[in-house]
Amino acid sequence: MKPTDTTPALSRRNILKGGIATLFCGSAPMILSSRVLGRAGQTGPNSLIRMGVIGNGLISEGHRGYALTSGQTSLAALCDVNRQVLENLSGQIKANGGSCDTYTDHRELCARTDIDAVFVTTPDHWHAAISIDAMRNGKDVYVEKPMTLTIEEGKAMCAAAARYGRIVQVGSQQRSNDSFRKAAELVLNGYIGKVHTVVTQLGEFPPPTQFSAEPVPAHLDYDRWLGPAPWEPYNAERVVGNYGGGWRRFWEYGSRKNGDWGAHHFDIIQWALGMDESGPTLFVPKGVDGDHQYHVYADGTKVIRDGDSKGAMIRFIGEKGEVHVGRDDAFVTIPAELKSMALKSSDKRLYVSGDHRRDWLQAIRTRSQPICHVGIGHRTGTICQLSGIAEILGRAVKWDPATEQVVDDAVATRMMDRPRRAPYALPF
Amino acid sequence: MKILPSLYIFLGLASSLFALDAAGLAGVAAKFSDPSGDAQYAARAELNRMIDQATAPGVAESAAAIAAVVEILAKPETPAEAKKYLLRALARVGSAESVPAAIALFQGPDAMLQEEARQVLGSLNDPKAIAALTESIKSASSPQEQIALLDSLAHLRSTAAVPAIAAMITKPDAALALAAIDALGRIGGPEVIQGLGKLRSSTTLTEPIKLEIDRALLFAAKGEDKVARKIYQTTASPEVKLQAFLVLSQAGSAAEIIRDAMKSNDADLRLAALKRGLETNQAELLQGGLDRSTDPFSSSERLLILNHLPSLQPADAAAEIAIGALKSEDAEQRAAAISALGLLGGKAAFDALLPLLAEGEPTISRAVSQAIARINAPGADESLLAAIQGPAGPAKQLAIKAAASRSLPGVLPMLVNLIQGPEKDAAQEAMRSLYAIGGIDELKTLCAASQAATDAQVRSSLGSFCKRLASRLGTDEAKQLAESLKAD
Repeated sequence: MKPTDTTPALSRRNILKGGIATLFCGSAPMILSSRVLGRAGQTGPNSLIRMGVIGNGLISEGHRGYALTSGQTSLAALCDVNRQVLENLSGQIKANGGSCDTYTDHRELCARTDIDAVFVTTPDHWHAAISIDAMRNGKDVYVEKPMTLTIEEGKAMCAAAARYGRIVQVGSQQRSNDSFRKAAELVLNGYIGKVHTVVTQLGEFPPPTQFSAEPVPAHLDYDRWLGPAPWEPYNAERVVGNYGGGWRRFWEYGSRKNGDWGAHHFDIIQWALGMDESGPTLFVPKGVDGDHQYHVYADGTKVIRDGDSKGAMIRFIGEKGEVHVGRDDAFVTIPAELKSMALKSSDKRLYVSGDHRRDWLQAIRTRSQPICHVGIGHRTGTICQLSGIAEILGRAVKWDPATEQVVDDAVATRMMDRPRRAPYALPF
Repeated sequence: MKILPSLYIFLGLASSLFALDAAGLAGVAAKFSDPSGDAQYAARAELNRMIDQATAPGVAESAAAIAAVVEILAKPETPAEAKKYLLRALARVGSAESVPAAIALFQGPDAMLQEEARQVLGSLNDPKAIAALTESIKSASSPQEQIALLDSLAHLRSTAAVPAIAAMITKPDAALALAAIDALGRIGGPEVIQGLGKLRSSTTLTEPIKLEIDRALLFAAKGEDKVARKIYQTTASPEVKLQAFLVLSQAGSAAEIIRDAMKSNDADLRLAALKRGLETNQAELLQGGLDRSTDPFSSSERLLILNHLPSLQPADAAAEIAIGALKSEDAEQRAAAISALGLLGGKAAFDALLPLLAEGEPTISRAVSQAIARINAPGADESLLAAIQGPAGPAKQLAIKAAASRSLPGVLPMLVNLIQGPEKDAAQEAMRSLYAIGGIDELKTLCAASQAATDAQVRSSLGSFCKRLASRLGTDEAKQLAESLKAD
């Protein structure tokens, strides 16, 4: 891993902080870390992985705790646009005898050469820009699901991971659960016959609304919270992170339930159908062809949102049986014997991971792909986003998963990306 | 898809219903003056719905709809909030005809609408839009605005804007200079590559700015061997060198560059080279590139090799390496070797794994259990059944687990017997396994055994297990069997 050196060396932020003086020779001494000068101080491969957590709202708690206690990691820095959050968290860490640097601008954290990896746990509209900036600065990334807000951002993330040789794990942690994996293996190997229908439960958020403008709290950098998203007046309800609404109810910062539970369940469905490198071909929103949103794969397999799932989070229906699976190891098969049936040696086996974060750390150490790598996150994210585009437009959207292009719909094509508010460009 | 024709017929028939006129839009735009947030959001949703429906594929009047949006945007009485959302709609549905209206607001006095209009122009790949954005670079009032314009032009991949963007590199604002380099990298093309290449050799630039130029060049060159090679050979930055390596190792000269990188002093680069060599299964290359007699593999490198063993050929040689790694003092490496053996399969692999069933270390026993559950090896099943019938101990428990997870023929009666037998640990493991794989026959046998048991403790334990198993099976017959058990 990297040396314990907090000096931002040849970093973009260092240039920006130093202004013109750092651009040209003769104007100022250039600061070079030991990393740049042959990495003499580099620590061993078994040393702790030094972590940063960017975005310290609701979902970050488990990741922060893991970084502090896993025994393989240390928590070097936290970043959030809310200074109050940072003060509280750093106070807690200090009270427990630790210490942790804090930043309100993720670029400052990413420029640190002594940080090896980051958790990106912001709202969705910031995932891609921060992850790419982190990769560009040599960090491996665990990014919460859905991986990105737009399809083009997903492509940019894949390109960045390849370009910078970084390890990206997407937080679709259901892949690291035994029940989901076993369910997927049964489906993938044809034990319930050809799957014709999948029903999954996503639920609903309250509809978006136009909140009245409120004064922006002094401790919040609201402009940076919005980042590339369109400008809207501040309201506490807009920025709050909760699982019942908050920012998740708005299209500007996520894909509503498609990007929330959809990012988990669509991901397992892709896995079970063997479609990790492909995807559906048609997305139909609720109300256009019946009471349920659905999408369809080229072989006719139909994935229905919020239909009769028999109480399961995901219900796979095949010609010879069914597999029902959910969290807390809810796992039922029809016929029942399937559940405990061992796979044949000729069957396809899926990647085994008992712990999503540990799997990422292992991948970091060995520079191998983790269970839910950037390519998988992009394909699953694409389903979330196309489902959202179809819902926003109120019409069916056709998709070519081979070329990754919308078919015959210029407006939906343009919605594969979104305009970005100045000055929050997507880095490369 | 059967559904598609009906959907599009529906859209076609309905197209006349979705015809959009300026008066209708103006009526909705006026609702933005309503102080209620819900009313404003409803107006916004209605605007979007009207515009999206009127511009759907197959709707004949979509050009007229866009013209209506443009007309309302030009009216001074349209509330600014309505204009904001109309501009956002134009970013989705707009065409060349929308450009003049967007330019008018882009050059107008309202800062909010200027920014929204910039985003519209940045979404429309139109020469007039590009010209307006390019011209504004010089006249923009702040570096922030200039950076936003560069982002739009880069997004449009506008080669026409390259000279204007290049002129920003020498501006005194560092953020602006970096944004210009980034923008050029994103636009790419021979002109940009040549220009950045020349700039790179300038003696007046510092290393940090050259590093950013290198990044942009690598991005612009999109895998071009010559550019990447020059950067690989000359950059002072380990990160950029790694990037250049990744480009080159995918290209025609992969073998040579992998060999070179494996001799690097930089651990990250060396690991990346080893990984690439393993991925491409270049055994000869790996041997030629590494002299490990004086420089042993690091722990990460060993793990990387072990994780790649199942895909390396020949499999026998790969298994030999994994078996050797079972002696490692590092538990993580041993676990990786065990997993590799499970995937490689074969008699040698299984024979090496079997003694490890007795391992007490949780990481190892978990890896062994998973490996044996999946391994494809002659004689494996017989060996496991023999281990189940062997002496008590951890090996026996793991054998029970592994045999159950493989659903070996004959294992179910063995488990039923073990549950009723004297070995407590084996009985508990058998219960866990039977709970996962047992069926109605095993339930019947155990229910009968429970009822026949004279020892109250045995009866209670068996009864409790039968109820759990019945609950998992979930059939009426299973439930009746469980209910028939005497209550203790």
